Amino acid sequence: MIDPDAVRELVGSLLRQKDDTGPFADSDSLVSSGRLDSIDILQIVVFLESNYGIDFADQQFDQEDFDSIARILTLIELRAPARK
Amino acid sequence: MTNFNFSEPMFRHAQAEGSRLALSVDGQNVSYSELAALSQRMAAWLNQDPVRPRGFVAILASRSIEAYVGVLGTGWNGDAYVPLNPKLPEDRLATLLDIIQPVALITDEGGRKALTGRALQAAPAMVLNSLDDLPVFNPQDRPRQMEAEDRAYMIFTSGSTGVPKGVVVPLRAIHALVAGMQEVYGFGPHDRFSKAYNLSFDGSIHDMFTCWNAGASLHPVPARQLMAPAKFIQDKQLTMWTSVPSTAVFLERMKMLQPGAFPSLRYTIFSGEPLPLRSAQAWQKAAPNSVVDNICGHTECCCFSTLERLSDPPNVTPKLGLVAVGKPLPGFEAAVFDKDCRPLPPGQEGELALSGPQVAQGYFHDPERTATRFPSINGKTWYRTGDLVVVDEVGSLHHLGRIDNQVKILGHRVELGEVESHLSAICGTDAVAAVAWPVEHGSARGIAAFHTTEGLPAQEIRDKMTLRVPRYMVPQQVRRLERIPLTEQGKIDRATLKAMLDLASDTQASEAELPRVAVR
Repeated sequence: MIDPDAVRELVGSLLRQKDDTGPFADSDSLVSSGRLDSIDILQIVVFLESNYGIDFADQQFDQEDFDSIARILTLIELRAPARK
Repeated sequence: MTNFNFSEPMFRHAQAEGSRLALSVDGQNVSYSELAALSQRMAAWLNQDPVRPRGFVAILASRSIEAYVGVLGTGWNGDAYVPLNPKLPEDRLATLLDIIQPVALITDEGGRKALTGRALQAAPAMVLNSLDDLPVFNPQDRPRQMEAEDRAYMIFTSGSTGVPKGVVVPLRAIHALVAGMQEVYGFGPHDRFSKAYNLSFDGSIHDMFTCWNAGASLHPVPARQLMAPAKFIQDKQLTMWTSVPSTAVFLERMKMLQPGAFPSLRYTIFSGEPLPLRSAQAWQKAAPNSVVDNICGHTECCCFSTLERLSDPPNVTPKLGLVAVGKPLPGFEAAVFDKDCRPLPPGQEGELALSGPQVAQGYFHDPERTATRFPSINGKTWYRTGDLVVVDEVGSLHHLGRIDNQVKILGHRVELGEVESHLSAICGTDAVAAVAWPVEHGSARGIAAFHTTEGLPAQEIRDKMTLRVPRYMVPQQVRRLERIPLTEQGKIDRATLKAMLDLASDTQASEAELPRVAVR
């Protein structure tokens, strides 16, 4: 099961760590706008590995895949191994 | 007679074997003869008034054909180029254009979008909006004859007083850099170069001119693949990779540096910030056919100045876990100065100073700062880098930090004084401070700002900074203090400020208040 709220919560906490309390919608660009950086992406990766079993070593990916909450949800949908 | 024109080597390859690939941008392949023709047309556009004195041409473009043709056409016509990043805020662009007073401005799609409001008002009358507007190709024309001391380009770096400073670099410097890199690496026409650095970052000088001097092809990395370029390196079968070490650190943490992942690479250069040994070794495993070099560079010395090759066992800077910064590149003389510019013996810590043909002419319209940073000693001009270094027993340099308040934020050079001068204007008081924080792997990730003004929300300060400075200079953390801690000498006590931030972060208090500090 994909839990969009958990992803929103994670992104919110990454932003708050930088004192960024501005609003963010699912479709807002977060990486290319500079609100999240490469180290934030690493935290998202750890989250996706542990919660959805995505193995990034096997994947070809672009930073664009993490650019918004909507993109992250798509990434989970496409790349998380099927679970019973 | 040597023609120092930096477009001359590209032109010679166009004449000898013009069908060879010179540039590949976002799926568009440009051969040497096509690149030479476009550059000639750009030069002809710039030369509409043949009696105009040589000047600066601003290039507001990034990772596009317009950007590279802009550089080469400017050089072809004997002008000097000034790269401007289209991502800069409007006010910053306007300030820079006012300082530069360019004779012409070349844009691409991103540049056209950036040219609004005050920046548009500050733009010169001659603005190129499309390559379609260039005059027809004249096959008789060739790059103008240029001399060693003629200006090649000007790149702006952060200035401690709040105004960016322009570093003016002559053609002899590019000439020496390219000759030195060719001597060290022996590049050939079959090499395929990455171009990860933006034009406004001086590492791009090596990428472009060393590549086109060798008759090789240049492959700008699209912005969307910059952070994790593994697939790009594989798809393009690159032989030469140059970037900031952060790229290796990031790919390693993403587990994308699999052993043997990049078999095509022959040469790797990391430059722009400290190189952690662990990431360098992981890169070496991923690129088993490549040398892995740590190169230290300064905008004032045309891009690259010293080199340490990763060896087994590696030469590591004690306690820091960083690869040494090595020995001077061909043509350079290096010395370690005390505070009175007297050379120190090996083993003693001091300021790195460099002399040789790559040393810049100085800072634009700033003879005082130029005299201080570029002293003439016994008939030689030296550049005092501000880097704190020590020479080890094998003659390699080790970088220990800075002797001033310059920091590197994700590879970008920032004077904390410049950040503070903008903060001070926004907060309406001098009681402000900035530190580089947090620091990971010897490299700072961002800036934290402190102020004392009541009722000024952090978000408002950040929003106002965003309008004034490049994004990497906008503080990620903004904290209000009752007062700014000072050292006994009355300077900002940055060590205490960093300790406060570390403490808050260690106690997992990202949202909690700092000790004795009112947040907001």
